[in-house]
Amino acid sequence: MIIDAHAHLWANHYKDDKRTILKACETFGLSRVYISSLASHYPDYDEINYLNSLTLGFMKERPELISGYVYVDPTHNNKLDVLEKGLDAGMEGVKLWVAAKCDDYRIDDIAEKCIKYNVPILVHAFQKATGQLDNESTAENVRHLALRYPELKIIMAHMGGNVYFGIRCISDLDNVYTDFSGTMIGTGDIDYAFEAIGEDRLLFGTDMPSGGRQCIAQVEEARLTKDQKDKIYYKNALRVFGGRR
Amino acid sequence: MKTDYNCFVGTWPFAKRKQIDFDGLRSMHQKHGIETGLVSSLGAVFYNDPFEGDLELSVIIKSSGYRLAASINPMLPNTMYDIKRADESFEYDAFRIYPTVHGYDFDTPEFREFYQMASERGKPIIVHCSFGDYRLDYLFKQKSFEMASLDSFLKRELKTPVLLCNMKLSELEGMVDTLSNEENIFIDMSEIRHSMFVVEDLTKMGLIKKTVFGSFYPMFDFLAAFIHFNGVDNTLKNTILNRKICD
Repeated sequence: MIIDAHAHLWANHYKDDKRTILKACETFGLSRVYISSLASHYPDYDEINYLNSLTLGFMKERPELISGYVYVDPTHNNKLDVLEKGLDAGMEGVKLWVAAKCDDYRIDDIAEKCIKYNVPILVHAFQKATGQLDNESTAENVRHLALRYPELKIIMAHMGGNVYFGIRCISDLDNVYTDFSGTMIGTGDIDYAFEAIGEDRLLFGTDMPSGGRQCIAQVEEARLTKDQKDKIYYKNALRVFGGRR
Repeated sequence: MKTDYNCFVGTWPFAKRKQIDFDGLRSMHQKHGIETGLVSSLGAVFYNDPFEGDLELSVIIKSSGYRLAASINPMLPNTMYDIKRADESFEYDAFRIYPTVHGYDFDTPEFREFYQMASERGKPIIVHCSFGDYRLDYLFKQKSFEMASLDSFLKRELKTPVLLCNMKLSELEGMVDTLSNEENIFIDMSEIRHSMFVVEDLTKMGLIKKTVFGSFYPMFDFLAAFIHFNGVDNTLKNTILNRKICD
């Protein structure tokens, strides 16, 4: 079994993305894919509604394969209504992207709701050598949020971008999981993360439709036992999403 | 012979990499049915004198069936000195260059001069369009070049084959006409990460006939490129793996 904890529909080519995700499920035996829908960096209220409707639509089309994160912009006044509406409709987590850093005070009420509903927040986090966006979170921002809310389940996406920065920020934080989506394919990255945080907090995620096949390659090439690989492929995800499923 | 055109032996200065010695590389190749590699020295990329790395590697791979691609930094003075030493010291089948590491583009006079010398020897040139994930550089930063500079170089009459390694899908898309029209240009699959179905994408773009296998191992996971053959028709897979960039 493989559960992909991180995939997307992009609004400008969501139909193609659906085809890619379904084809990947068939080709690689993915048994469940957690998606969120994205478009502009600073969406307005209507865009957020539209994007969440795309996610819900795909969930309804293929309930046996597709689960969703509700995408929330922390700067919006109606963020908690959006969050509750999404969770009521069957979404299983919250997605934060680049509208605000994840340790911004405007995240606090979102975090408290997620604790209440026992759902994880998937935080985009990427430490870039070049092209860092103004409000793009890094692993350090994730660390601040996790320390503020030790009961909150956080999935730090992309191992924080650079595994060597990212993993050191979450090494002692049991409430932070991480996925290795995002097309970083350095030899030994998974081994490095595994040595620092063990196998219980690593999640399989692809970032489809932007690549993802190499994530399977990374797990297969890592120096891990079958049981450790199973935890990464699906057992940890079952635990993270257990609050709703 | 099934060949990996993009593989290295030596020390990656910025992180521990597994199986970076020649036995590790060969063992990874054997595990996946790759019979040989056009291999280069990682030391040669970063040493002040690339020749030192090439010489080390030439001893290591002697009689192994692997072939050497000599690393050249055209920005060093008197590039002919490096080429002559290579000619006199070991057998090599190609030149390998790293513009993003050594900081030049294809309009640079030093590069043009080097290209002329390489052409006179009839050796292919392997161009690394990037060398590792530029987003993650922090101890050393690659200097990217304008794709227009590469495009314009490739549009000139090529006298010797050019293999473009570590090109992204979007970069290939931007140069598809140039890549398709010139017989002497080849590409590898090592950096096409932003696609789930790379072989299909290259086929649609008409570039599959230009594609050879390159892994960029041990900097990238070997399987990250090789996994794209999963589910691909065996004939096509073998064609790509056996394709030669020159006789």
